[in-house]
Amino acid sequence: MLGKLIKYDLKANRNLFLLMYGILLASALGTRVVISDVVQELEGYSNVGLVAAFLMMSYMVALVTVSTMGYVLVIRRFYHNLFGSEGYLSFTLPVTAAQHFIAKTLSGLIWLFGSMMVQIISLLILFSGVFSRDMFGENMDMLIELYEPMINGQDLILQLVLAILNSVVSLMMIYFAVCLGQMARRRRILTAVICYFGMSFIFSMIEGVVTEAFITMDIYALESLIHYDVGYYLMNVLLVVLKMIIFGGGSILIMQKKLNLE
Amino acid sequence: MTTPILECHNLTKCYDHAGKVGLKNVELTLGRGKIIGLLGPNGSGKTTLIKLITGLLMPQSGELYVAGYHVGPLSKRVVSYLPELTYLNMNQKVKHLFDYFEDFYPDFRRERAENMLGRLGISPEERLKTMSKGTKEKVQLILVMSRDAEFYVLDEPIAGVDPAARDYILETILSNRNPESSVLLSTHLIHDIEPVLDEVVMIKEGQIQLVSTVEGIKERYGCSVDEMFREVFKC
Repeated sequence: MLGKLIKYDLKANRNLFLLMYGILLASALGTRVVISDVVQELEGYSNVGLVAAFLMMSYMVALVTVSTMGYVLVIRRFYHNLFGSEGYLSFTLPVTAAQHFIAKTLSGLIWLFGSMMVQIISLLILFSGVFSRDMFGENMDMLIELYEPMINGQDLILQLVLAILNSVVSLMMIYFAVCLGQMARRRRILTAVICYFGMSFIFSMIEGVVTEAFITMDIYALESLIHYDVGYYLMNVLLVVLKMIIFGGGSILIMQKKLNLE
Repeated sequence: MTTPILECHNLTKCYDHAGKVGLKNVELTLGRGKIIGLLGPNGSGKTTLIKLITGLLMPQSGELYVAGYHVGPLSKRVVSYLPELTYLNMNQKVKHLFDYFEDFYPDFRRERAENMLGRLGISPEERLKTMSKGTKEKVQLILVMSRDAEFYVLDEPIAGVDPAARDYILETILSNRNPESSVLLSTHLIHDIEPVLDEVVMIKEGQIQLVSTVEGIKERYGCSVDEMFREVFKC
């Protein structure tokens, strides 16, 4: 049943996501074609420069749109399918509240990570072969020297894992805020937004206190950008697990016990 | 001895706001193979009871069993529910809604659904948002009645539709249900529904007032269900 729920959640937003991806990639390709002409004619103005500027701006808009609309579509699907009129069908299916939550989380993450991959691909399309190391001079050498250990070390893997876990937890927090909001009689969306910002503030404070209290390294040193000690990773993983329990468990409990369909 | 299709013991549901009582200490047992009318005026607790049966609400206290199961995935598997409102995605085509029901309900009979759709002249390629209110409700009814469920729970199925559509809905309910299954119909339009009912449950202010067969009301009180309803619920 979980697989079926994920299938329909992915299908629900498929057309809009594919449309956005198509526009972004086409925009990247179009801008890339024009930019390579501009780079070759840097000495003088030409009409190509104006077109390139317009296309670059369009591309930036498309890039931001994919990020923003990605979250909007995923959250909208969660809200409408579970707490709108469609909830009368969703919650009478022979599935548990936990299956609903897991399906929405996984399908949401698939779309959000997919959006991120498409954005990276679009950037690669846009900048491949256009800019070279020589154009940035010795600044590029310094950047490469600074970040090379991170690129080659195990810290990158740990930081990537942490980044993925934090992405999962971020989405779960949004869902939890929506669940809290639907318990209100009126202004459910506003209540959800307030809950979200409230939780963000509280957890930021907690993380700040924990970091100050338990992490002994000098987090302000430049080296800390590329190498953290084990304690930092352990503490962050513990915080992620705690958040998953609160947000996931809380959402499921609300859906089981405090469902309040319109 | 077969398990009753519905058992409620001391069932109470309060709504947090204004301390409103939806249901109070309801004791109710419904047997299988019957068409039961859940009758009461607006705000009497009909929809509350239905939402408890379908798992859309949790009771404050008491117990509820559907076909012997606690309310959950197992009970939802045997219940086919038609709510009062349109609960389908308006952007979907009818054929995709059939796919959806076929995926989640092993007892969904697609051929039956397609036959009913064809008799109404509705194309499976149509999207719900292009249909009139009455047609949308008919599509919902087709989806619900195309399942071989043990318990059909229909919340106000004939409210807000024209008399011809009412006849169609009642005829669809009668002709497509499994004879061993039970149907719970909530309504306040007693006159239209009385001919199809086997039993009635009358509810007022969250409490059961009367549970009887239709024949029993005629024999004991010498009146129709409609007349009985007017007597029980007179202002």
